[in-house]
Formats: sequence, C-alpha cells, structure tokens
Amino acid sequence: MAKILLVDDAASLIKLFGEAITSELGHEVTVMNSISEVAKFWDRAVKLSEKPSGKAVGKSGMPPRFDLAIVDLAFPVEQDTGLSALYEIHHHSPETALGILTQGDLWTAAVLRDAWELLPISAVLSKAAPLKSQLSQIEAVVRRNRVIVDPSMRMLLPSHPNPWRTPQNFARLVVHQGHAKLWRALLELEGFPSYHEVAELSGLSVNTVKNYRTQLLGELKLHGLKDSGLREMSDFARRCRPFLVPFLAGR
Amino acid sequence: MVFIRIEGECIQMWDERAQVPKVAERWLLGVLGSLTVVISLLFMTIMMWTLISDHGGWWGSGIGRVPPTHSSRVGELFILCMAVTTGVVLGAELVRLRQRLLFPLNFSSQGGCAYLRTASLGAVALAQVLLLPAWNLLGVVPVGAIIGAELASRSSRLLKRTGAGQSSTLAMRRTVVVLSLFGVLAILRSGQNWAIASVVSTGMMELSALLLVGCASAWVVHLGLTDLGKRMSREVSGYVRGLRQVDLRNRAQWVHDHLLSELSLVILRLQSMPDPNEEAIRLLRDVDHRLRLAQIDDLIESGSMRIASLVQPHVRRSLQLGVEVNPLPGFEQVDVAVDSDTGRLISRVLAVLFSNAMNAGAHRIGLDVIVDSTGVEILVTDDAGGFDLGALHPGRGLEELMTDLGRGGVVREEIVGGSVMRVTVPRSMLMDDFSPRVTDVRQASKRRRMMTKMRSRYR
Repeated sequence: MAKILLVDDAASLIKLFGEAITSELGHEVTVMNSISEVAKFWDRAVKLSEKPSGKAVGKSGMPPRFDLAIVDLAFPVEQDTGLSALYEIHHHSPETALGILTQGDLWTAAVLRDAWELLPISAVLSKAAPLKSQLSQIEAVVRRNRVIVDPSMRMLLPSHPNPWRTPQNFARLVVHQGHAKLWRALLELEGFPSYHEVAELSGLSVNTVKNYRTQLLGELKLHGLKDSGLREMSDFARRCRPFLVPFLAGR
Repeated sequence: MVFIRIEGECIQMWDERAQVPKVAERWLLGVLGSLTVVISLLFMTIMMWTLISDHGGWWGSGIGRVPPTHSSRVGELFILCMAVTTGVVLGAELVRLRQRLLFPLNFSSQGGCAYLRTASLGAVALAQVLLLPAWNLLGVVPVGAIIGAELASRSSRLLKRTGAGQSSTLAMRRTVVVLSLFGVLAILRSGQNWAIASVVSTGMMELSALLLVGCASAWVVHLGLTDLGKRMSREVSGYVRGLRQVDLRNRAQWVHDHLLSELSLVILRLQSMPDPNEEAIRLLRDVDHRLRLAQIDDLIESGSMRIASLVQPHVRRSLQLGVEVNPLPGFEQVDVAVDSDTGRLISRVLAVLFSNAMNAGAHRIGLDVIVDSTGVEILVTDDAGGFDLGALHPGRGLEELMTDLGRGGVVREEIVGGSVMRVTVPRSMLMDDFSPRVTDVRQASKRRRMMTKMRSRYR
C-alpha cells in the first residue's frame, strides 16, 4: 500500500478522486486543498522532526513520507500555482514521486512546462481522462516507477529536456542587486505592471528598468520567453516564484 | 505619469499621478490656467508701458539709442511689481511642475506649455531687472514665447473639444505660416524705416519680433502636441485592445476554474456509482467538449495562440470516446504561435477532420502538423474506411472547407482500411517558436561574459 498526497482546490472533486484511489487501488490518500496548507504541513513537520520527542510526525520522529504527490496546477484564489506546492514537496521530500493532475488548458500549459523542465515529474494526468485510465496511470507510477504522461498532455511537453533550464540557472537572472529589485517589483505588483510602476516600486529609473530587461532577454529566451515584455516577465516571475526567490534573498 | 480618460470622442490627459482630478480640481486647474494667461497679458502691457515711460515717452524710443538716465518713481514701482509677480508665478509653476522638472523629457500639453511659461517668465524677470534699459527688444522675446505657447495650447485644446480632428493640424499650420510671413514682411518694412527711427518703425519692429517669436513658440508647442496626440492615441488603442484581451481571457479562465471543474465533479460522481449511467456521462462529456471549444474561440479572439492549444481539445475528446490517437505531433511541432485568423482556420480544420473520422467509426486517428514558411499542413489519418471527396453534399463541413481553401487545399489519399486527409492552411502570420536555439544560447553566453567582465571591473 502506497501513501499518496493529493493537492487540489476543488475539494469535492479531489475527495471523490481520493476515495476512488483508496477503494480501487487500496492506497492511503491524504488530501490538501491549498498551497498554503502544503507549506504549513511541511513547516510543522520540519519543526516537529527537530524535536526529540515529536509525536505528531510519527513514531520515528521523521516527517511522513509520501510515495507519490499528485498536484493540480491552477489555484485561482491563491497567489501561487501548483508549481510552488510541487517545489515545496520536492524540497522537503526528494524521494516522493511528483505527479500533476491538470486540465492542460492554455494558462496551465506554461506552468506545466515549467514543472516538467524544472522538477523530476513522474506523472502528468489529465483531469478529463476517464477514471479507469487515471487509476491505471497512478498504478503504473506507484508500482512500476514508470514516467507516465497522458496522451492529451504530450503535445504540451518538450520531448527533450532543456539542458539550460535548471533551478540553479535562475541565478543568472539575478546577476546584481538591480536585477533583484526589478524581479521583486514584478513579483509584488499585481496585474500587468507598466515601466513607470516598476520603476516607482523598485526605486530604479524607467530607463534603468528598460536596460535591465534588455540585459535579461538572452537568459529569458533560455527559459522559453521570446521577446519578453514586462507582462511576460511578470507572468514568468509569478509562475517560477519558488525558483527565483532564493536568489533574490541573497542580493 | 500622464493619466488618460476617454469621454465620448474626447481624450483628456492629466499629469497628476494618482487619479483623475475631481470636478472641483478641474475647475481649479482651469482658473489657474486662465489666471496665468491674464497675468501674462498684464505683464506684457505693464512692460510696454514701462518701456515707454523709461524712455521718456513713445516718441523718444528706439533700438540702440542710449536710454535716458531719468527713471520715474512710478516706473521703479512697476518694475518692482513685475519682479514680485514674476517671482510668485515662477514659484507657483515650479511647485506645480516639480515632478515634470525631474523628468524633463516627459513632454505633455500641460508640461510643455508650462516649461515655456516658466522659462519665459524667468527671462522677463532677468531682462527687466538687469538689461531692460539698453535692450528693450529682449523683453519682447519671452513675451512672444508666452503668448505663442498659450495660443497654441488653448487653440489646440479648443479644436480637439470641438472634434476638429485632422483639420486642426492643418488650420494651425496655415495660421502659423501666414503669421510668420506677415512677421517677416513687417520686420523688413520696419528695417527700411530704421533711419527715421519713428514711433511707427520702432513699434513695428517690436511688434514684428513679438509676432515672429510667438509664431515660433506656437509652432514648437503645436509640434509637441501633435506628437503627444499620436502617442496618446496609440497608447489608448493598445490599452483598449489589452482590456478586451484580458476580459476574454478572464471569461475563458472562469469557464476553466468553475464550470469545467464542476462538470468534472459530476462526471466523476457518475463514474464512481456502482452502476454508472454511460449515456449521461457521454452527454456530459459532449457539454464539456463544447465548452472547451467555446473557450478556445474566446482565446483565439483575444489574440495569438499556440497550435498545441488548438489541437488539444480534439485529442482529449477522441481519447474520452475510446479512440486511440497515435501518432501525435511533438511539442516542438505544435508549440508555434499563430495569429487569430490562422488559429480560427486551424481550429475549424481540426474540428471537421476529427469529427468526420469519429462519425465514420474510426478506432484510431493519427495526427501530424507540419509548419513551414508557406503555411500549416495538417494531416489526419484514420482507419474508418474511405469516401469520395468529390461526392460530398453541399453544406457539409468538409465541403465548406474545400470551398474556402480551394481544391488544392484539401487532399485525400487512400490508404489500406482508411484515408489520410491533408489540409494546408495558408498562414497570414506565424510567430517564432519558443524553443531555445543555438543563437539564443550564444547570445545569452555573450551577455553573461560581458556582465561578468563588468562586475569584475567595478569590484
């Protein structure tokens, strides 16, 4: 019996899906309905594991280990995407196989690609696929350690890994403190920020913001952004927040 | 930041940062503007009067003449008043324009005129206090600049409000050219009478200079306003287009986040029942597919989109109905952005070809997409037997497609147990793919090397 974590904001849907996994496949399922819940769970687990007599985290005093975590990508009421939850899980429990459950629409396509290229994803499941097909795909990942991608999702994922796109290479997007200011402003501003708004918030001049954007264009191309304007940069920053933020803190 | 508001056909611009001024503030701005004009005119009158009184009367004045040493108390008082007035107006302008002064290149209708006014008033003050007795013509220059700038600014706004549009530009050009010619003629005429040095020649000289400087400044302001107007209209149209795109995308996202999610829940509930109702599930899947297609339509309307997003609903639908979809194009083949028109056509082609194959009872469908400089070629292979392309009934989707794309655009090839449909969609505009290329990597490496060098230099 494997331990599976399901993360999706559609509470009723994911509960039902979890019940189907338990009843049909016999796995133990834990359900979480928000990214913040995932973050809190790992925070608590880490804190308790540091205590010698941590009861809430199991007999061994170690955080609970999941064999597979299946995460939805779209969380409309939250600031972050499912990519943050996947990052959090992988960061705290690298041995957990990561899976994605998504509808694969236009706005999740970019996040899906980011997750596929930046994290070791084992399964990409379609929400629209028949239940039997979804269950057999989960079984293939859990029992046979196979990498499963639903056929309808294959077209959204690069067939070859992009060697230039790694979490470490995000450091090249924050070369100096000025770049850090720019990214911080892009992460803080809501909607589609203008140069003036970014300049005002970051304390840089408009021309400096433009210069920094031009400086980063080459690196951004390697992350799949071509001729990226501020809007695309802002989207990118929000999508890849967990990978970008560690390098901002150091500047 | 210039703030834009559209009222009917009139575009209003405000240089305030936070928000559009309220009615009271707009009145205040109007009153201040009018006050500035009145002060400017009063200023000019006072200056002329002072000139006359300082030179011992109108008859004794003339350029180049040594000014009389006598200066009446009234004249001194007026000069003092002018200096004070100039200081007050200058101070007020500086306070109002402190933001603009920090960004001098940010020219706007308000800011541009105010710069000229500020500079002019400063020059007048300087001229009055230091240079006037010997160089009275110098005082005329800033006054001309003030009047010209004010006239250009006011008339442009007036013409815009009356909806004159393009004709305002023409009218302004004609007026300025005519007035300039008049000014040149007047100067030439007064130059001829130089020796006489009469009141007429001196007066004409000063008035002509006033006119010429006024025309020049009016022209400068007008050019600035025209340029600004063009820029603003570009910004406004881009802003409106952006709003429409955002609206359409929000609607499509709402369908994704709420409607389709609820539908998935109902389908899953039905599937989880001990004896699932297959017909109900099929009908709900139909609704799901139609909603997704409507969603795609909205996204196409909102701008460019990728071929992968257009293909996906059809592949998903086929899989749901138990049809195997193999082979499928790879990410690199379909991760290509197309414009709205091309996207709409590709979506239509896919809908027709997939539904034809499934209606004919295909168990397996193959898809290939080839993008080149001429267009997008879509190949759909099925195992549903064959049909005669020439015997299609009018009104069928494929027949309409052949009418629109031409006979050469839709080609059927016979294969064992099925057929290959080859449709070529001419592309009106295709954007580059997102895959990183060798050149991108080289550019990035070059940039990286350059920045490392810069960092080491500043270290």
